[in-house]
Amino acid sequence: MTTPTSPPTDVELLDHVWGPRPGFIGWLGQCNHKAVGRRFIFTSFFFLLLGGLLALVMRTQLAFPDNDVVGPQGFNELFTMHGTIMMFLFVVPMLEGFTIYVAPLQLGARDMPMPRLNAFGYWTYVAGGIFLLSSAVAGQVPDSGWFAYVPLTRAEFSPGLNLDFWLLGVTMLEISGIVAAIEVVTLVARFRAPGMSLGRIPIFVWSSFVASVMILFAFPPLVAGTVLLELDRKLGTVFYDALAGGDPLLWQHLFWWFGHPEVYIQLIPALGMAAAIVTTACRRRMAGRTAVVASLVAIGILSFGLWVHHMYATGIPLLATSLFTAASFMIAIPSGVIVMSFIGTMWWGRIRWTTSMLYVVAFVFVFVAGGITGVMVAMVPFDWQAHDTYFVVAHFHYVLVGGSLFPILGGLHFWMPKLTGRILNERAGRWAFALNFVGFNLAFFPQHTLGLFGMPRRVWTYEEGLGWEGLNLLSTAGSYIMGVGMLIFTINMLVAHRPGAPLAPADPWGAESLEWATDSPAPNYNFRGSMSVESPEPLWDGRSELGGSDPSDDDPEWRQQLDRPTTGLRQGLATTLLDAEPDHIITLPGHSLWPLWLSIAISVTMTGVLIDSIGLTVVGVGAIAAAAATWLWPGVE
Amino acid sequence: MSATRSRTAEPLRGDQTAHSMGLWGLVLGLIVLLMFVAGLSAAALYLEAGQPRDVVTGETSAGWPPPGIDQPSRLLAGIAVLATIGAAVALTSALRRIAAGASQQATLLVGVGFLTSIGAGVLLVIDLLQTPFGWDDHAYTSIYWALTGATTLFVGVAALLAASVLVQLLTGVIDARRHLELYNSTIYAWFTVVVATLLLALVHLLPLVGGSS
Repeated sequence: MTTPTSPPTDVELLDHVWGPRPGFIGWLGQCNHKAVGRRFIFTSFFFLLLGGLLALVMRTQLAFPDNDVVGPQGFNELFTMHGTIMMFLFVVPMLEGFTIYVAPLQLGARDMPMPRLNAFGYWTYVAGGIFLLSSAVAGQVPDSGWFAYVPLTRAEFSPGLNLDFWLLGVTMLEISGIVAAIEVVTLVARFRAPGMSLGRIPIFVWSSFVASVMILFAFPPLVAGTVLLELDRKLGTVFYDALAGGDPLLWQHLFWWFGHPEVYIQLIPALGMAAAIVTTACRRRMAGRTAVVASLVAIGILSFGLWVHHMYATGIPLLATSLFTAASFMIAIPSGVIVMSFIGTMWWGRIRWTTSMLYVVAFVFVFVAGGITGVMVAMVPFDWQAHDTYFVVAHFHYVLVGGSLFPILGGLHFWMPKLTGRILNERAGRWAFALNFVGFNLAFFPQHTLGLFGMPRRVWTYEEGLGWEGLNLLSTAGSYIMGVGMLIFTINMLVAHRPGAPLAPADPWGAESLEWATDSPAPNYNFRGSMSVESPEPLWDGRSELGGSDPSDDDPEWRQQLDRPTTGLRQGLATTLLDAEPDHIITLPGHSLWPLWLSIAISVTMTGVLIDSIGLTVVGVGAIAAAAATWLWPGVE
Repeated sequence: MSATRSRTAEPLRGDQTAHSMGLWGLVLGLIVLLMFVAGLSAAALYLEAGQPRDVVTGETSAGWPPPGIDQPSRLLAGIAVLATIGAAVALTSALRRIAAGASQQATLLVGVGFLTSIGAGVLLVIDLLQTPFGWDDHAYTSIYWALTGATTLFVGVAALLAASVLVQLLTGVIDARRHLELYNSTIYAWFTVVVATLLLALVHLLPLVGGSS
């Protein structure tokens, strides 16, 4: 006897339409922002642990004078891969992951505007990571620093494949970053809930938007630079060869045009994450909210005028260095506005001392310290003394760990309920925080002094009697304490996701933005029902419509179409650029394997270039054309 | 203009043109490509400006191109730029014709655009093959090959896009109501005109400005 099945309710239908296909192929072909965002976040967390492990080996080598844990070649490879992993495989992809997962939810959208491009960005990131790490299997690990300075990286000084792995792998990672940026800009421009005008966009989304625009302008010139360097290495062109009319400094200009904004690309979204946490934890609107947004934009613009301050020691004319010193000073102003806004929010708020809030407080302390030393190295006379010493290592770790890593760790605590439906243990979180904060300062504060004592960067060992022994040992001890902190953090994440662990409620923190108006983790379709945003804090204002209602015949036709997807199409609402008024219904693609195929085709091409195989390269290019054409062909999926 | 140019966008107000999110992707993608071209152009300008100069005349004493390297003719590059303009004009006309419902004329014009793009690409390849120097002789020759080669790539992609649209027209995928692919290809064709003009001008006219040997 069969039981008659009732037709699915609107919610079941929505869930089915927006859900993944079953099986492994369905898993591979997922393009939804939540799947892609989570993949970015957890893959990049793996790379954080890997980069941290490499750092621990380096610190072990430097713990004692004349140590021989790794040789000079091994040390070169370690600092190169540590920097490359942290810059290209951890921070930027982690922030992209948060943006891809959280930003559509904060905006009240159902997905990213180009889901297949989203998936392509992730697969290209994974492919780039595998490509870089496979250099270890080939015994050709990149060894010229994360900035690959010419002429050291031209073929005559780096004859192996080491740098080719680096150049080609980084190019793939740049492509991944660029496509994610295109997605985010379009998302913020057109996929906002009705009523979410520009002034009501959450600060985290603003920060992601600014960073994405920066990526569009910063990354392509580096791709141009890496293409030219790879041409020098593979085909013998002479762009960087001073003997043949080229110029090694050309690389530094192209690299730092990318490299300096890159620092802010890593900082700005992390500032946005910290802003979301501090607003919630202090239970009040961000003090000087408009000034904070304006400062984020100002930092984004000013950061393109600073690249030469990395090149003071290269013989740049004095007038130019003065200009770039002034520009470097100038960026302290919007940075200071943001820090003061954070302090003001804490001052006027009623703070709940969650673990995520502790990381924000640590961010303020550490980032301000890094900013002050940044102003110091922006001054030419001081920079000439401190250039290429451990002072600079200490400075940029204070900026990047304080400005990016701590907000990211706080963000993981804060948004984990929304990411996976689980909540991290606060007690373990506080222990991890304390060890990370103390360990970090113990590891890196002495490096300021080491630098002033003359210890150069990137030395694999040092002689006894130079006065560096004690501070190096202290620094190594600090790094191990931080390592323990990260271990506890990781175990905390694993334990929170054990079978049977408690589930998080929709809004465990009493937060103000739209992602907390839906279940934890967010359902396949994110939101349903009528939405209208009346303020920057829609969950607090008592006036905004937050969705969740069943569609009724009184709703406009387009609203019923969105909430009753009887056509089986994934449809979302596009709104106008300025005032976010309903504008279009957009049909979005769902499952697709073409992004994965395209990433594989790019990997094949890069491998062909790497091993000088014209045949493989041609096959790869053909596969790229075929995959792209099929992807873009109307109606294929 | 048609209100349903895209398959994936339905306007909620009757007076609107419906553009899919793909158009946003295209415009932002062109910004990215433009920045890539800017990187290449900056490299050319930087290397030319970095050549040793005569303090009196301001001209490069080493020369750009340097002594012993002849500057190739500008004829082929000039014709190639004109061809890219021709291709863009043909696609623009095709866009107007398809919107007016004249799909046969549109098909013919896209075919012309495709062939003209191919022609531009072939001219640039011939130009490279005829150069009296290798890419490894001097920074000038490296720049010559890189910028002309990059232009050829951009023109080649324009030809591929035109070919794709041509097939879509012939198979009826594109019609008067839905022709976003043609619209996007036309934008890219005009972008190619800008890139070709900029890069080939840098290759062929910079020696005039900076002082050739």
